[in-house]
Amino acid sequence: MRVRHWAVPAAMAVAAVGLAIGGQHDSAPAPGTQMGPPRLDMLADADVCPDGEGGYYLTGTAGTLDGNGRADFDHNRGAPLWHSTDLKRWRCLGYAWDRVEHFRRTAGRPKLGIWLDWSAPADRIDGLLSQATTSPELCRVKGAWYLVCAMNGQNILLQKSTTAKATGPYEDYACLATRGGHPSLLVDGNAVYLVFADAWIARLKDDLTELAEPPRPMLPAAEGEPGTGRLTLGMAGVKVFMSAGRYHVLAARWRVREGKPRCDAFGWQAESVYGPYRPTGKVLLDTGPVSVFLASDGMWRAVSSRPGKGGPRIEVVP
Amino acid sequence: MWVGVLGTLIPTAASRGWEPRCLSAEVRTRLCPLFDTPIRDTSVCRGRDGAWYLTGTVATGEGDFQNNDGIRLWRSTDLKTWTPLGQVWSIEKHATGPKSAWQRQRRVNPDDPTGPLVRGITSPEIHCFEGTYWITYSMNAQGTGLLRSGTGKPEGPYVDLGRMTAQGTDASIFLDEAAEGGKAVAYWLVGQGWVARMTPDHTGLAEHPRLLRCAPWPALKHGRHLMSSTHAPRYAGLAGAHMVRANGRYWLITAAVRDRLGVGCYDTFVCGADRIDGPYGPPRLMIPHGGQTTVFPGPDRSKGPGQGSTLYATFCSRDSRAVFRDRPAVLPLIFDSEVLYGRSPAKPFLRKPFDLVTEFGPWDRLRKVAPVHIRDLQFSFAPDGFAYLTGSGTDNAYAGRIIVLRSWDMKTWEPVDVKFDFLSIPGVTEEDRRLRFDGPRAAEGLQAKYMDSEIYHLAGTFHIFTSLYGMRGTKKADGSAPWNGVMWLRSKTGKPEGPYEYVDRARSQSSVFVDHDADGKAKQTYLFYNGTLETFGPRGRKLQGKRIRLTTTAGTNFAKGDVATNLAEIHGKYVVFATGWCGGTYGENYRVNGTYDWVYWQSDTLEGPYDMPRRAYAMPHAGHSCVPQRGPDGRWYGLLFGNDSTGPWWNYPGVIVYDVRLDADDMIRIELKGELP
Repeated sequence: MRVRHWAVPAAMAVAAVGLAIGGQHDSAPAPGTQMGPPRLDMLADADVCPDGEGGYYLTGTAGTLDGNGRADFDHNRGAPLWHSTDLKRWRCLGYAWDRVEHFRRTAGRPKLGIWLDWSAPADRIDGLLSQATTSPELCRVKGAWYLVCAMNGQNILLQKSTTAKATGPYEDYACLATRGGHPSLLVDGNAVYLVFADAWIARLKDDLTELAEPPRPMLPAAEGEPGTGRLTLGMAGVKVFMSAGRYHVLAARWRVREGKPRCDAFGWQAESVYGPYRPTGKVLLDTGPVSVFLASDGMWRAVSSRPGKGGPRIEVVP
Repeated sequence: MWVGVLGTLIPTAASRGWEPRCLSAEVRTRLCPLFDTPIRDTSVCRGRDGAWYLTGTVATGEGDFQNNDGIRLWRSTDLKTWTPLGQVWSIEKHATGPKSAWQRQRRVNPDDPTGPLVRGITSPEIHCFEGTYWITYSMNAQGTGLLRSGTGKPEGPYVDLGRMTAQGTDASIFLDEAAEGGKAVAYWLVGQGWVARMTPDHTGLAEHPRLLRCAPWPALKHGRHLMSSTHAPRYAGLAGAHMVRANGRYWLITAAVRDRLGVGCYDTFVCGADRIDGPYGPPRLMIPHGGQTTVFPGPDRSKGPGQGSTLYATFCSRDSRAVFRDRPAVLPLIFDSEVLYGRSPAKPFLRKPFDLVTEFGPWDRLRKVAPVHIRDLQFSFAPDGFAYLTGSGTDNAYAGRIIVLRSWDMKTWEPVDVKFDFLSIPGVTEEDRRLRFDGPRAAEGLQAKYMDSEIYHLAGTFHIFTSLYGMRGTKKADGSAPWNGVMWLRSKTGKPEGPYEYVDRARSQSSVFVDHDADGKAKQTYLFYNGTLETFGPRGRKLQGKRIRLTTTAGTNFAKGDVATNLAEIHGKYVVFATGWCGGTYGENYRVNGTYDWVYWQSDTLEGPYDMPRRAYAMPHAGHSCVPQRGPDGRWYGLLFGNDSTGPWWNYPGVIVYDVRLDADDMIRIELKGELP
């Protein structure tokens, strides 16, 4: 059985005192609950989105502490949000999407309620029941702010800000997929695509209410002798970006480098968003899965998570 | 026919509509390991000599399946007694040529990527064709290769034909003897369902692998939302692709993780197609907990456990809810569909026999406590020492009567002849009674059945909360609907048989919760339904209408796919039990391959909010059944009826025993025990 995910050690012990990147850390969440403010040092699947005014929003899968003080990404209350003007100091804005608050506000009867269900995390043998909003991502489409996220790495929910602000509040907008998790939206001119799971893609309808086509895998080009190439781009959690007229993907995979296991992100590019994708030879070392954004200086930057070690790592895409 | 405790004869007349074929099996068999050696990804093939040969991933010690020195083989002539043939391939001794050089490398541990590097052959699969034996293999799930016996003997020695794919795991070969042109064509299969035609000499691939995709899972309307289709990666499964041709169709078989039972179960799924390239239908649950399997011809016989089929499958469970794990086993297969009450069954597919148990629990020894169909169970202990059981009396014998059974030892149950006059309900007319209960068809449907009944001994007498559902399409002469609703009944005599009087309207799927003070005295009695508490009036003749909506800390519902909830006080905690369909996500029809279970939430205060204990799993197949209650002997009992197509128990009441405790982390733990009363 293959490994599908960037392995965030589920039982990773986290220091009792948060790292408080940028000095923003209110107090530790109560162990064993989903309550408490988000912690930057317990953020997985980090994603950065420009705010359109020179600043940036940061979100990701919020980790909480279990009863033994260990980091747990299977239980949280929503999508946390930070803001920065320099990509170094992050100011915590709380939860952009707060399931508990939303349940209260809608008296348990929201428009869709994908998030009202609980389940076990995807594809994990002996995984137990959980309630987590995973891999959230902010995206602006035609002037409106959307938040796309997964429930326990499975159902994909699209939410729309009821204000013109990225901070929300957000309301249920569409259920885009039933399984796969790790969602990302690609805006390509008038077309919007959902990229999810380990690099599957489908165009959305113009009103973003559902997929306009069945998802299809983004596959490597079939080149060389049969069997010698890769079957897939890499692990779950990729983001497509456009540069120099081509579609690019950074897909992570484990390999042995310098005698040790390493999880590096490898570059792929294609002329069609659906592929086939060919390797660019560019590699980001020791990042695991990354998300990508266009910074205000015109450079593409990759964001990787370091839960338990600090806030997200941001570096220029080579 | 059986005699009631009060002398009333209650004939049984099982409704055919609620009688799945599998219920005819009075005897269920528990799957057992073939032998006591740690093996995963077990593979069996039938050899040229008529014997069976078995291999699989072998471990270092008990649990390290990523480090080993090669491939071992076993032989059997009856599928029961297996003789080890020893190691037929050693990385150290045999992987010396250039084609085998990749075997000697150390790789990332797929089970623990950040841990030390590993080296081992995983998922070897043995095949017999063209006069010799072939073993496909993977190196720690990072590339696949092929061995061929140089002697035509299963024990080899083998020649390494080298690496077949640079990526992927769980390689398999499918020999398509129905290929066009009349000549068999060999295909190489990998992982989630990648397939490529092999070269005629089987030394390599003749084409680039392509991904076989299955149809989407069936969609289900949730609330006000219906997806036009489920959308997910179209992998047939997560790993272990294997293919077989049977009944004129191609069957793609893979292993996938689904959270049936509220736990990530490693199950075997199958999807069928008329052509090898598809299109393949939606995945169906072939073997619960079966994991990565291979299908092979079993004993030559016209009839047997496989209902005439000679196909067998290997069982390679890895999950904690399996009947056992990491030991080799085989089971016969049948062609049949799943059990779906009141729905048209799907087309037959390759699956485990109904009477074979592959799940942990006392399922093979569980017995019906009564020969009647009953659903939505509830039981409570009364001061007379008896446990009283009721529910939805869906058996035709209980058309027009409320089902109640009682037992003093949780083993022997006897019916109680409950007396209640439907016409005593205020506003009910003879026309209501006639439309609902009279006529030849009345007994067949649910209209004449008292549903979702619950029985409690409160304030010195018995109370029953029960429902009569609405009658779609039936109207009275004046155009109004026949009387329907939820009712609260009370025994006028203090006796369980009544007669009962109508007290008030109740709420759908009601239960009763009595809150006690620190001294154990009852301080408030509530009706509890769909996560809401409602108080009774001070004189106990009306519901007061004061409601408390309980919430979860997760901002989710208590229940999933249903609204049934119960509340209990256990070990000083308030515990909400909620029905949950596990094994499907929002938008999917999780009734197809899912399980109907209880989940539970706890709180220190009645109002909550309630937490689902971390590391909790569901109470298997106990959805809308009896929550655990401590009996006079100190054991925690539950009753269930079985409502899901993948479970080992269907639609009859059975008693089970739970381990209910408060852990050191202050969490309630409820786990199924392997014992019975």
